[in-house]
Amino acid sequence: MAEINNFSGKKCLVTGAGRGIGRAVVAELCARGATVYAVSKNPENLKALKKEFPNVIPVCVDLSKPEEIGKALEPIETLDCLINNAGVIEPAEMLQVSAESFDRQFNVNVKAALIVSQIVAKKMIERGEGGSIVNISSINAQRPALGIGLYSCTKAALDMLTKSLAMELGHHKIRVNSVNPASVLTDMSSTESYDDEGKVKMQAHHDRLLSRTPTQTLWMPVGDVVNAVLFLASNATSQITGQCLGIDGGYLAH
Amino acid sequence: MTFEYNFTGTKFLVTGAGRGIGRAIVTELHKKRAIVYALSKNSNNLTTLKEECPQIITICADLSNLEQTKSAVESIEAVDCLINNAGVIEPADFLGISQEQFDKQFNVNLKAVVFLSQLVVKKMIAVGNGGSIVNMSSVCSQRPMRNSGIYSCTKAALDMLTKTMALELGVHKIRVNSLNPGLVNTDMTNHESYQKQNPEDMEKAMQQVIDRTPTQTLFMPMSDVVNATLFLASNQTSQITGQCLAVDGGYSAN
Repeated sequence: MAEINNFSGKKCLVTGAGRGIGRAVVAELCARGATVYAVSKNPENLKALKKEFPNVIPVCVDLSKPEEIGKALEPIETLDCLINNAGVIEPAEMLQVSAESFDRQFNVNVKAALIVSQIVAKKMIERGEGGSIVNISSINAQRPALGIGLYSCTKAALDMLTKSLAMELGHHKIRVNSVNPASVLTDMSSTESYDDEGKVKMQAHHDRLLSRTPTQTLWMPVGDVVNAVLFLASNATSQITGQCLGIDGGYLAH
Repeated sequence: MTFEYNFTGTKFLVTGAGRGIGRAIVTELHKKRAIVYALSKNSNNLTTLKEECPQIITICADLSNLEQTKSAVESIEAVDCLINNAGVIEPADFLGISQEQFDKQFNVNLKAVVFLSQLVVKKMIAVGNGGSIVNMSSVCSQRPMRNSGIYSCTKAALDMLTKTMALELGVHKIRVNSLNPGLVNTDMTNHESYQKQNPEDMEKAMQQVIDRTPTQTLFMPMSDVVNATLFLASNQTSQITGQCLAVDGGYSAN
């Protein structure tokens, strides 16, 4: 079993590469010799990323605008691997959540993942050497949590997208999987910008999460997520596809 | 930059080590300089295995005999990782399942896992450094296959055991996951009672599996199974627990 997890010379595209999980995935891919296209809507984040990782190819596009995605991504060469990581969350209770918020969350978390996957997969199919797609989902795809019910719906849809793509792209040797982390400490989960009431609600949410987590760990290490993403994306296996791998301290198993 | 797991000096106990998946896992771990306790009921298989992998420590015990297993395993030092791989299958259609077949398969595929794991886990807890357990399950735990007798039920139970163990052992930093392969080309899938079946029926059954497999692959490569087992067992992640990871070409994702 030689040279597994080898990314030398592999071409990868990571969305939401400007910060959080995406940025950490970019860092590790670079360390393993991959050529990385880093997609983000934030030019400042991309500049900082390029400074730290000079070989990264930054691509600035707002994934909430479907008509922009094609323009930005079509010119890119055929890739070996795609990490659909970009995601947004807008906490709100189900009776309060607005139609606009529905659109914003579904546009980035599901629609963009579909459109990007279509663009990338078509070229992989033309080239005929297969490929690998990893979608960053969430435990909330299976278990909604209070205040993020709509986010949970987007992640449930993303998991089904994972399986649908796996089903249709399997015979092209393109594998599609997702990782489903519990909370990871990033800007997305940070409550700094919340008002006092929001902070109290998040604390209660964290307490509930912790009480149901067998390992009694609240924040999943970013390293866990990165390593799991790279494992699924790599050539370590050729038949793992359609899987949604939880990284949750046992939360989903309880 | 080739990525390599570091298993040097890590202590493993692998059951069903004499052939098939177990033997392949032992061989790979031996290459990676892990300390391997290889358990099998077949002393001939253990002899040839030891010739190929001189540093392993062989243990001859029949897992369907719990007293014998306990005596054989009790004196082993605490291990870091346990691979509960040993399993048996007795093909039969539902109306043909006998009580003996029921007992035999549950004894090895489930009961032995419980009681062997208890011994191993008690020592892990006493050492206090956590550990990792991987149970060799099957795609059948979710999707029964015709004429597999009570096998699918044993694997469904094994998946639940995985989650139960993950739930209770998480606090001790012991992670428990299962691997759920599709068909793997070993003695188990060349079972003598399959040989007795009508070749046309066998071919039809195999074609049905292929038709439902997005990657159109019948046998999962051994390297897939070994690499996925090693990923779950390794310290690449500290929070993946209670997961059942299928290696099935997408069979269970559609």
